Amino acid sequence: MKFADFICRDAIRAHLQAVDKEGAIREMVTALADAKRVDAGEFESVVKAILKREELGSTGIGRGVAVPHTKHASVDRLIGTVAVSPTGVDFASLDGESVHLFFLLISPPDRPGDHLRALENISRQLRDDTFCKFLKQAKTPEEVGQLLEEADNHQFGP
Amino acid sequence: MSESAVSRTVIVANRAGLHARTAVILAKAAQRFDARVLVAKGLHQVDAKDVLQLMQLVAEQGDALRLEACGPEARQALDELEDLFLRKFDED
Repeated sequence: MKFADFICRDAIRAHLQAVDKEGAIREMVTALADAKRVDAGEFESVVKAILKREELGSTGIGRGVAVPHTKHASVDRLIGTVAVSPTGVDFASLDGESVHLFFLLISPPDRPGDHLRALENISRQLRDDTFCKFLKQAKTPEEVGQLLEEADNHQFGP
Repeated sequence: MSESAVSRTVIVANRAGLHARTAVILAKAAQRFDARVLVAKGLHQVDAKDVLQLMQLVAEQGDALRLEACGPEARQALDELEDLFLRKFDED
């Protein structure tokens, strides 16, 4: 699976304002709603579902990255967005570091395999330090989108 | 592996499989022990203490995983990890 298969480019954000977990998740789901990928009427329900999953354990996977996600019946295929926080967000991560890079995923309840394949893609690309660093330094959504495209075209890593 | 090497097979029982949060829980548990712990799905073997590596296994519900550990706390590490799989990571 590639980033292009699930990341909605018009929902990418390069300057998250939020400094806490809930605020960051709200901003990202707002971006997906603005891009018409999340139904406006389902907004609160999606945010609550993601926060509820976070309560079971943080999706802060270390290296300044988090992968908040949920299943939700209002989407008919896996969708996601990427957000960069220049200031960093306290996310109760594995390594205790604040999070600067988010991949938020929403998948239909009956497709757990797609979600795992998206995570495989994200984790494989993140193992490349250059990709990870460039993404965190990206200043515009276009720049983020460009980096994802380059990663899809195997321009990073082995 | 040294004389303290141990291994066992577990089944991914939770519906969502080894996703980000379950990988974090697994890595965190493995990191608590003085042992080298490996997780394998088929021929793909990764370090249980590395979340990014764990997520690359794409371990889905029903998949069998081989846990291997060596070091002073190898057995305790596998007991703990096996328990997480048996409890379905407290999901479902």
